[in-house]
Amino acid sequence: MPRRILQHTIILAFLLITVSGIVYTVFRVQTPVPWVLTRYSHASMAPFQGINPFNTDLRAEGLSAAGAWEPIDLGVYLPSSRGRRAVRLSLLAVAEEDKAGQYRQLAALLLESERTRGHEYESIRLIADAWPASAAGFEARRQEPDLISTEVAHVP
Amino acid sequence: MSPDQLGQGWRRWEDWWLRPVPADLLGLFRIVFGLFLLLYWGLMLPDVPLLLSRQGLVQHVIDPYVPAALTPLLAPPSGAVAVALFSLFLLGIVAFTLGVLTRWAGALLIVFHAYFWGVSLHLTWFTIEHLMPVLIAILAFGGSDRAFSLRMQRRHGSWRASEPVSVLAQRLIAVQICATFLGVGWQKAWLPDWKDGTILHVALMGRWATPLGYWVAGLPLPAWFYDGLIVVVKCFEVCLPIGLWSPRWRGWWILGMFLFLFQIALLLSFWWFLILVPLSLSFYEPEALATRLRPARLPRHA
Repeated sequence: MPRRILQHTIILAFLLITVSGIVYTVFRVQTPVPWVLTRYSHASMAPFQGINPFNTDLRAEGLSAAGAWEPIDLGVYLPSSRGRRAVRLSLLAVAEEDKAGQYRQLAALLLESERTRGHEYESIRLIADAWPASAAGFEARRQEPDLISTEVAHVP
Repeated sequence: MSPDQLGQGWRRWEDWWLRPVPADLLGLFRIVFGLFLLLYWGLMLPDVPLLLSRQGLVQHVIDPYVPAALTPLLAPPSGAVAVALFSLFLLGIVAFTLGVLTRWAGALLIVFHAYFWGVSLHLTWFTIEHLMPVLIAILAFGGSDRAFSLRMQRRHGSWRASEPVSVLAQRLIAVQICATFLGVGWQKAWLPDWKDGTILHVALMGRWATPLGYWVAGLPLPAWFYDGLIVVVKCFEVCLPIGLWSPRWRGWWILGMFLFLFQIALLLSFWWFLILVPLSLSFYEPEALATRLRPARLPRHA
């Protein structure tokens, strides 16, 4: 009997959480089911979010002692997959109101890492690039006049 | 409704959700899913120091739903520690796949998954990485090591031996797959981004698109082509979670699912969703498939 009760509890809980996830995914309505469970269920049924007519990327520059901004290769810090790299750098999973702080933290981390690697930059800035998608390639239109660049962090 | 009808309804509910069935299909799922996990996470092994340790740009970003007491544990470790932990994680997947100490291996995988998620991977928010712990838990604790496993080798002298299990695990997998496609498909009926074919064209030129995807995007296809395609995609995805429950048409829907996910893998590099195709066998009644998986002469134990 206890095993049966456990099994029915699992069934009920699974169905409740799943239905809550479906209701939120389809109608963006929160149910009384705890949000952390609804959010998890929603995340297991909602791929292909964030498709955008603009491609984006984050680049970093370091201010050298000579006073020039030098590009920093982020490829040595990030996975090889372009998709994973872009998703990580766009902080897709971070709430909009928290992104500024997270980008500053990222810049501070990069400054420390670059100094460890022997690049004694005085300052680091992160720039978010956005450009229209093109069939000619991922970065085909990543240039003037299509390129929109926005500084998202500057440390110190 | 009379008490007899209620009783009959309850017995049908219990039979559908909990009756004992051969573990063959579940055992097969364990092996296929375990091999998939080895491939998925194994491909990540070279990037582990960059993704999960201080060697990479791994911020101490704390998900707001993580208890405060756990946050110190989620500080990115050194590269060597990250590789050691990840290697242990892969060993756990091997044990799970082979069906030895399956529950312990499953629990270990879930704990590791939560740890890697907390350290870094929550920044990427991948759907398949949300599905993994759910499927691991269902298989590890649902009796998937009662067939085609080293556990059966130890107990009955043959890894192909089988013991009966509750059908519950298989039903949960089917419900989860149904829910995933239901959410994916039905939200497209509402979201403004999916009102016409522009989003399909754009996706083929995005960060996940493959060279083949870019080539297709460059073809001189008119806007109505993509608009028509989005109607087909939406109809397919809305109907798929229902069609999978049809005994007569299920096979065709699974074939359609395979073709759909295969072209997504080719054009958008999301190859990992193909694991849902073999797991869709969970929609079949387990007894029907068990007789096909196992000739009569192979041992099955009560």
